[in-house]
Amino acid sequence: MKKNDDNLNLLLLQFMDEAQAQRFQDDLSVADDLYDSHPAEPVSPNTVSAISTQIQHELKRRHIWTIAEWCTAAAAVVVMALLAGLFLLNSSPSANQLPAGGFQTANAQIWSDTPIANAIETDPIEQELSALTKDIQSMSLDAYGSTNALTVDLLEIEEIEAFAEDTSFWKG
Amino acid sequence: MQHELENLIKNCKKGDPEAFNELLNRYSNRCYGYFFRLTKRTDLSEDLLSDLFIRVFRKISSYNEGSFDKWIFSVASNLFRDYLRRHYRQKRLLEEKAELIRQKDNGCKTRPEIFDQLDLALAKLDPETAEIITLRYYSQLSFKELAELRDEPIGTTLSKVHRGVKKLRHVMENS
Repeated sequence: MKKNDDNLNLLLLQFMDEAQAQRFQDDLSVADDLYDSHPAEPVSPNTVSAISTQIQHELKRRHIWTIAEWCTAAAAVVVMALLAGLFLLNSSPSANQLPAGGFQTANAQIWSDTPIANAIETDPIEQELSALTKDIQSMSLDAYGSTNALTVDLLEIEEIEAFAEDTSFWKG
Repeated sequence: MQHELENLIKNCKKGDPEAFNELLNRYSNRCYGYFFRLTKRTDLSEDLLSDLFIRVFRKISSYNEGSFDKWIFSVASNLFRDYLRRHYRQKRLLEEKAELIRQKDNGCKTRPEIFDQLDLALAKLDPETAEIITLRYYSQLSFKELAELRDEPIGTTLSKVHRGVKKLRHVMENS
């Protein structure tokens, strides 16, 4: 096998003396002869053919991917154009839009400190709170002020007394 | 010759199937020989060769200029080292080689076709030395290119090759 070592001697002389360089070249030539006289078996034609087929498949797959990529890119451009068109169409002033003044008035009423705004925000909550307070007060009256409550108290006392008399429960 | 190769590579970059076939025919034997000398196994060498050309096919657009032989053999060398790292730890490879040598010495003819004197001699070298000597022979690269491929100073490459070929000669003369 031809070697690409045209200036080998010059190269070797940069690193070693002439005798060493000569020995190096002799050893190298023996090694090369060894490889030349013991050639590796050639690759089988079936293997080459199988690799070739594999590369053809890869090439086809690459073509398909290229086409798919182009289609995707084209579709993406169309979608982007449509979206841009829709955006432009909606952003231009039209009769369908709500008058800007309406929103501004509502916002002003809600966020300002004027009495009107306070009334809007707090009136229903205050009403609800006062109704709840009334309910709680009436329930308290029921618990302590009615005859039903007295009945419950008496029953509880009787139960405690019965429990105190029956002390055999812990004997099994 | 060089111009012809440049055209071939240009066509490969364009995705021409015929150009890839031509490239495959041109380099398959040398690359296969490189793998076969290092692994001593036909099936493994064929797998590595297949991986090599698929990788070349996928990466050929990254090859710009310089020696194509250096480029393709650097891919082959990386592939072989990856293989050693991932699947076939160096120790296991050496053990298997030793086992094959034992079988050979005992006259076992289970896989006679994969053995010759060179295989036996290479098996007695450490894997890195065997790889660099085999790479030099099959890639036909100059020492300068070999050092660039291995990303080491040229003096280091020369020293490794010299040590390797000296040992190879010694082994062959004493066998």
